[in-house]
Amino acid sequence: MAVLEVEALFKAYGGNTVVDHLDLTVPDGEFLTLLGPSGCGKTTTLRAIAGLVEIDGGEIRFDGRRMNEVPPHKRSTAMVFQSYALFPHMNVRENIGFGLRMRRVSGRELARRVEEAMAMVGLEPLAERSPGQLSGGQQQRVALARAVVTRPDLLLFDEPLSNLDAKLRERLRIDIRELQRRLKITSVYVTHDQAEALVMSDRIAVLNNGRIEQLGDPSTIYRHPATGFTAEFIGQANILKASVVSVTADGCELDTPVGRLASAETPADGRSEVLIAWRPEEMIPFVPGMRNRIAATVTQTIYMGNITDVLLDAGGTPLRLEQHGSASAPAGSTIELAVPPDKIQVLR
Amino acid sequence: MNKPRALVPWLLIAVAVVVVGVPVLMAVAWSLVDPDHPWSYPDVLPPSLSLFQWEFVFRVTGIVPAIGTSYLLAGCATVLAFLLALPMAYAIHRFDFRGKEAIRILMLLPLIIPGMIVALFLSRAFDFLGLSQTFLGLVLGHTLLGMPYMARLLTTSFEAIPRDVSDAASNLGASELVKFRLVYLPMVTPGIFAGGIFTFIASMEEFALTFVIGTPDYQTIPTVLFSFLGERLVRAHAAVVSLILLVPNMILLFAAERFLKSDFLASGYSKL
Amino acid sequence: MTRKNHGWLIILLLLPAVGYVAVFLSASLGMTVAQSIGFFAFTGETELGLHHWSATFTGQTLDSLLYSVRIAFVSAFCALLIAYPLALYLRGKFAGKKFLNAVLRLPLFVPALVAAFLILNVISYHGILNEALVRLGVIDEPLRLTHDDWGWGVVAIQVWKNLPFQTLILTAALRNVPADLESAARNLGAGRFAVFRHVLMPLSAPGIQIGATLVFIGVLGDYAINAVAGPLYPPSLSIRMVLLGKNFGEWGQAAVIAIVIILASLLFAWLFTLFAKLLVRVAR
Repeated sequence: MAVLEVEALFKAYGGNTVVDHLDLTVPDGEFLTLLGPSGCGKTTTLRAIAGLVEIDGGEIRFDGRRMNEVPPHKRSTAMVFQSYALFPHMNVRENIGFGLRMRRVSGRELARRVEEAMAMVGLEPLAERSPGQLSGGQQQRVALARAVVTRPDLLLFDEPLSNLDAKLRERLRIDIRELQRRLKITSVYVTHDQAEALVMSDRIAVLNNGRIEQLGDPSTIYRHPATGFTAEFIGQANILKASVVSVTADGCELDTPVGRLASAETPADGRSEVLIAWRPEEMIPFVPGMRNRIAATVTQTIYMGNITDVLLDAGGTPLRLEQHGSASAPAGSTIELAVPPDKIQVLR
Repeated sequence: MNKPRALVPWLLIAVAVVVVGVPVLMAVAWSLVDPDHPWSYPDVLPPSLSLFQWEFVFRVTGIVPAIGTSYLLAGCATVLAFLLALPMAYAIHRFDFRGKEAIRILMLLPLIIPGMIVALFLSRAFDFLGLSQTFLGLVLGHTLLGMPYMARLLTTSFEAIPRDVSDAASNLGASELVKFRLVYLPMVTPGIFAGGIFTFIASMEEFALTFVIGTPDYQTIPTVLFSFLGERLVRAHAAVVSLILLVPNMILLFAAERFLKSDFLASGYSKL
Repeated sequence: MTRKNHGWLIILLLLPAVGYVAVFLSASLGMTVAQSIGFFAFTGETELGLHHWSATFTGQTLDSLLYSVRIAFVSAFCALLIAYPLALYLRGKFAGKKFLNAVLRLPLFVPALVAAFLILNVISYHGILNEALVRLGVIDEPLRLTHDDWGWGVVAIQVWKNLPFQTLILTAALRNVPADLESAARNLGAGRFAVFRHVLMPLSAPGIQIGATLVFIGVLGDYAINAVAGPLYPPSLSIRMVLLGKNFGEWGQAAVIAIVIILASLLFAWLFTLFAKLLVRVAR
């Protein structure tokens, strides 16, 4: 249990900057997710925290204590790997006990704590199996037990669920989060799966090109993306260029390729050329009296079970609409829609 | 803290270069010793260099016919091993049957059983069949010892052909013969070359078998070298013959490295 | 693909290679076994029995056996001792790694007899090694390293020749250990030595086993290098075998020695297997 501070972390591989002066503070007991596409520097950041990659600049502190010179085995972190990284020549019990043995725990104390950890993730019947005899989900449970058994200051997760099938993934998301809440261990979780990040996290840091694009709780990140990158990376978004016509007490008026739109937000620094965004599910059928009317032609409908994706053409600008159930309008027909002003985000 | 550590690789490279390079350079030096100015204790380098030893070895000793025998023998053994191993490699790729592992082990045996045992008792069997002291006997023996390389490299390159590719070819209407010519052969050509080079070199290097079955009627480069190293060491001559044996090998293998994918070579080196 | 109706075709395709190796090997090995118990004594009467065995196991043969096993074991051990740290170091990235790899691979392409000659030049009585040591004042008189009674000259040649091969096998074995396992062990509190002891060593044990076994068998059955650089007495097993067979016509006794070489090879191959298992067990 600890506060993690990362300050101006910098890492480059031969002239190629991977982590670019990244600042991050994770309070005690928080579950923070580093979310981003591959190559954004999230795994490197995680490994730097564990001490598994040498950093080129910046400082990493646990509870205020500088960690830069502390070798990985002396940092009290425990990592769960995407590949599980179970020792193939040891059985489940020996794998889980490894960290304790390295800390000179032995005998009855060792056995008791291993049993406890196995019980926590429901592995008791498999204690004598070797990793090769376990399913992917079981292996990841062993890895989880192996990580928490040493009661580390920090739990680090490196895309732990991405090798599992969808059903199991959803199950383990909840299990991991529950375990973390119970043990109150500060956790950093790396993933490129936005749904995973939204479900599990206390806070999400969206990473792009080695920098944090936005840091906030899941609903803020989803509802109020600060940048085009965040808006696009998390969920779907209609992103348009707009110029500010006027700023009023309750928002602003914008000129956009699809017509004059009103937003409840105001541009942060008084700029006149901005990007705006709204979610596909936030467009509603137009009823007279509503603001922000958009007329569009349906180009294609994609049926996806619970929802239907409707691709639109609004005077040359492609838009995306998400409807519940099946499509109401066939391809080629013209429909009228509206976006409530409080759903239109003015991006940085 | 960083500086001494950065020196380790250079130190390692220096040691490796000395340990590997000095013996080779000494052989070169010995082959260039001028007989009028003998190289002996305590001179560190030969006092004067000449090509006399090379001329002498080529003029006086039996090296010339030995070179001919060596290359002819290696060529014959390589071709024979290829013709024998090709159908097997194809069958192992194309069909499912039991005992593939047993075949793999059998094909490796000639490499694992000490060469002198195979040589000595094969010579007994050859005595019986009238094959001792014949070129045919030598070709048969060298083929046996080259088979492990040829079989392994051909088999691995056939196995590297994805089943999907061969199924796709069938699906597109290729008969088995067309498939072999247009799909399999182009894909296994690097493996054939690698197998050929390794079998050839194995034959060039083979000593025990030639020594027991071929000498004194048939001499190869290694048996000539052995005669210079044996009872009385004739340094300068041994140096010349060593280089005659070594240099083409090096060129062949470095050429192979340039042209072939490293996996083939790796599977050739790692004999198991 | 299709299982049915291909039986004869498969046999026909396999026959050339498999038949060839099987026929010639069994000709050679069958001849060995048969002769060791008195069959096919072309030179004289067939007399079945173990008399060749009792005739062979004299003090001289025993000396040869002990000598060959000793240098084989020492060569395998020395090669391992140098190759393993080297292979561990070659896991990392450093400047000149490619070049180092190329230099280390060179002796792989050197035929045994050439290797023997190359190293003889270095370690001979007035060779460069002795001269350097004398000049540096490490020793007063040159050391006798070729044809020495212990067999150090042979060991030096064998280690030089087998080192690249051994390194290659060990590098491959270590490459098969996923990098994540090492990271996981470090992360769980293992220092560099603990990572080696608990993770790298047991997981590369198969490579250690194969490498040691192949070098051992190669040195145990060696003829040429011993003939060129070995002690005058005892001769290596192979030299004694050839001596008995070719020179004295005692083919029965030569066959017994061949079988002894093969049995000793199998015995040590088995011992190396046990050793590899032990490595895994102590590591856990």
